[in-house]
Amino acid sequence: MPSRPFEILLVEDSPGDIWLTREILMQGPIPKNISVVTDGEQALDYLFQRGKFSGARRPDLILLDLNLPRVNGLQVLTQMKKDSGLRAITVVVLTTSEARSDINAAYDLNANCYIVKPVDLEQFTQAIRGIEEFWMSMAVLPTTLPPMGAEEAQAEPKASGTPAESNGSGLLGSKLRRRLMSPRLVRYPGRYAHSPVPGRRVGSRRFGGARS
Amino acid sequence: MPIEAVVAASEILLLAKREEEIAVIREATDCHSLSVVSECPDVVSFLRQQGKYANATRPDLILLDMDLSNTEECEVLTEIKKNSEFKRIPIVVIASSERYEDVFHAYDLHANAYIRKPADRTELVRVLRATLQFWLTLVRLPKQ
Repeated sequence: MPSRPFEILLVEDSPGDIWLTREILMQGPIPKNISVVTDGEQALDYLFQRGKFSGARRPDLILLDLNLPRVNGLQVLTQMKKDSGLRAITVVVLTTSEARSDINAAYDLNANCYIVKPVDLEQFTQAIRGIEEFWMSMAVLPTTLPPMGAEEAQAEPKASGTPAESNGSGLLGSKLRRRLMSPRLVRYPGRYAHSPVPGRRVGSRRFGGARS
Repeated sequence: MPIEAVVAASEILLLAKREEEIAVIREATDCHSLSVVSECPDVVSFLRQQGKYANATRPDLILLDMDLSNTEECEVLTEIKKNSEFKRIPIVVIASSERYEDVFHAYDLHANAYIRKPADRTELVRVLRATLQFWLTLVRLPKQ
């Protein structure tokens, strides 16, 4: 297991779903940090560490909604899975869409799995717990393992150049290796560690059984 | 739809070479329809319904019991994930290695998930059952 908290990027625009997903995840057994962005453009800025997200931590797992403002979830998938430095990051599509075209498109764009958000609160809770159990404890993810050369790099810091580059085996590009080795991946920047929480729409979809 | 119905309807294709491992995986997948191939080229023949696989059913999920240091096995993964007809079928890699390079390589080739194979047989059955439970009940699989 990693010696740092599991990093999750939640890409979701519904305040109610953000709040609920965070609540359920934070009750789970695995220590984790949850960063939240509310549209596809921010998701891409976060992943590519652009603008205000220049210090963003590389996520171990992305929970991606599809119907998002500005840039939709399928476009986010397209962009990140084209990038050799980002495409190994696990993406769980978590959406209300049950359209076959969305499901097939997500898999064709190399989403790791597709989960339809249950409307029922109890089933929603089970779905999020299922994601935690499978992706955070059963599956092995590349990001939660120490990158190759990491121990050596820490043991004997080089006077010049990045330690990662002197230890890589050539499987990873140097840009990616620098990224994986970067200390910013394991520190807590704090700024995005706590996301916007409950909005007025909290509960409107699930609590009390009333569906509008 | 009851969950049991979804599970029972699932077709799984397994690539595994060693008889003992096939037996364990068979045990874990007892209520599913499991097809087993033991040679890498057979995976693609199966998907294309070629030769002796003319009557093969398109799998809902592919399990690759593989060694990531084996180039031929990695090519199977690459070939499926580059083929527009088959790439959407989820592939779960089951491997003994927990080396960073192997895990990264599998995801980089677009394996949908990577599971480490526990040495203990009972534990392996448990892990496989939980994996199938996740993929065949919670996950929405692609459809043709």
